[in-house]
Amino acid sequence: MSTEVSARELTQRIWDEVAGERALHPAASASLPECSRLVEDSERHYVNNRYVLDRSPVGEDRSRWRPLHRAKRKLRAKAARFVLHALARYFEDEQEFLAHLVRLQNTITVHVDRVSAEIREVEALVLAESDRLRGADTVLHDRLEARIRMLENEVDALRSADPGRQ
Amino acid sequence: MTPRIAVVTARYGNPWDELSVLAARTAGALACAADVDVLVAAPGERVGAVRFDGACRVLRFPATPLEPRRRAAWRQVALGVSDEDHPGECTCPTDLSRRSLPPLVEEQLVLAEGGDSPALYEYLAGTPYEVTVFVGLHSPVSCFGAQALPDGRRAAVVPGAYEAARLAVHDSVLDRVERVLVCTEAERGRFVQRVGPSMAERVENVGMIVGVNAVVRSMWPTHQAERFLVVARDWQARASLQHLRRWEEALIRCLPEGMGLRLVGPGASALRSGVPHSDNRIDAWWWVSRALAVIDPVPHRVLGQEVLESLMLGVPVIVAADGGATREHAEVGNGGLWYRVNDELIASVEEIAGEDVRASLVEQGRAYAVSRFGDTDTYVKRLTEALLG
Repeated sequence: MSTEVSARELTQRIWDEVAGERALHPAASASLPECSRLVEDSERHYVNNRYVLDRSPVGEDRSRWRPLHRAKRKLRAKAARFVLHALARYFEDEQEFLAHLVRLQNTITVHVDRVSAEIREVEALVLAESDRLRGADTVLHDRLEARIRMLENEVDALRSADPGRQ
Repeated sequence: MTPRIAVVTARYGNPWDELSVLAARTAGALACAADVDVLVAAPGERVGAVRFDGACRVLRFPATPLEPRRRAAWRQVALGVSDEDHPGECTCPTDLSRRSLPPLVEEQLVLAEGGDSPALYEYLAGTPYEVTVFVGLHSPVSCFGAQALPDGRRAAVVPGAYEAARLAVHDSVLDRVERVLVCTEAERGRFVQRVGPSMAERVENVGMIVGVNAVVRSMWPTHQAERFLVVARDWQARASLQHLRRWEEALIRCLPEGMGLRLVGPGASALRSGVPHSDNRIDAWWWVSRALAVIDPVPHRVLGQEVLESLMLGVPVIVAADGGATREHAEVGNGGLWYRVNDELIASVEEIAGEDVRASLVEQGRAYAVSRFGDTDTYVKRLTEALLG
């Protein structure tokens, strides 16, 4: 007749032993801090919304102008149009350059976010693999212990069978 | 006059499938006291195809098939859970992730389970059965069949499968029926919590009947020196084979020296691993009866048929800590151990390998399984009293 065993107590003991074993070999962790995605960064949104150069002359309410002011404004507008026309090529080059810069910045942002996510995935994989290896190491250790015990028993048995050879 | 009872189910005739087993055992037990028609929503069948299964008349009706991809897509969209990524692991919505869904989405979730059969609902509404028993709370035949049932017609439900989603459409079935027939205390506790204390008396644990062929112990020659574990589970349902293969490989790596593995269950051959496998019930019993222990890693089991069979054959079990019925069998029956992570699983295997512990678990587990799930008369009496008074 076998003795009565409580499955609950047995399971609890096994869980405690496994937890103790794990505590002896704490898992190494890179402890990567939480970080927000760069693609959602407000500065990036600002740059994306403001990189287009405003080359239109300033519009104003002409009805309130007095004759002298009107002449001055006209002169200024003419000067502005002249400058814009003279520097048109420069502004176009500058605009093209800014557009490329913003595109590059967006590409870098996406890549940085992807690399960041990949690093976290690699960390999770490394942790899982490390966990598995620790488990395998424990099993291997137990098997070696068992073999050593078995060998010791065999040596003891041999010695006791033939005391003269000691 | 002998009462007429309808047992309505979407799954019937598959001995590996718990819902099929529940439907067959419920119908068989009721046939002792009533004329039983089993109404099966069967994809590919013509209208009202009639067959016989023992004392029960089986009527099959055309129905929509289960489309795993559609089901997975709806569950991903509506519930945020993916069975594909975590086969065998608990993907239940938490209190935080659980949310109420629009009726249209709930309907699609139910339809995605497959087995919707308007012809069956029409037949059910027009046939005056004394009692209608729906098997499988989450199946369309239960959700829409209960709606089609005329007022005043008595009905009961055997919930059958675990579903943590708690849809309102399922609640309407629970409101409609007068009895919720469960087979374990764990399931009873869950449904009492769900329907509330005022309706708790409607939830009744009628148990279940499980049997094994004891002849399997002596049918083939056995190699006593061979020590192996049997993993029993459904290897095909919505599971990623790659994930299962990884789990199996990790288990093999960690097993104590000289310990083998056998895989049993539907779809085991699809794994194409070097481990011996079988989806034949006789092979499964044969291996189980000679195994050191049987592992059931599936969470939220409703009946835990393979675990009960193992206990009856005198083999201890190792089950998932969130295994539902399987955990109850191991814990209440003192017939096995349960684990949360692989380290605990391996430690449990090593513990069970000890002769004294194993002998105690075997004896206690067998006594539990035979006394609670091996008495046909008690099961028939409980079921007929619950439904026919």
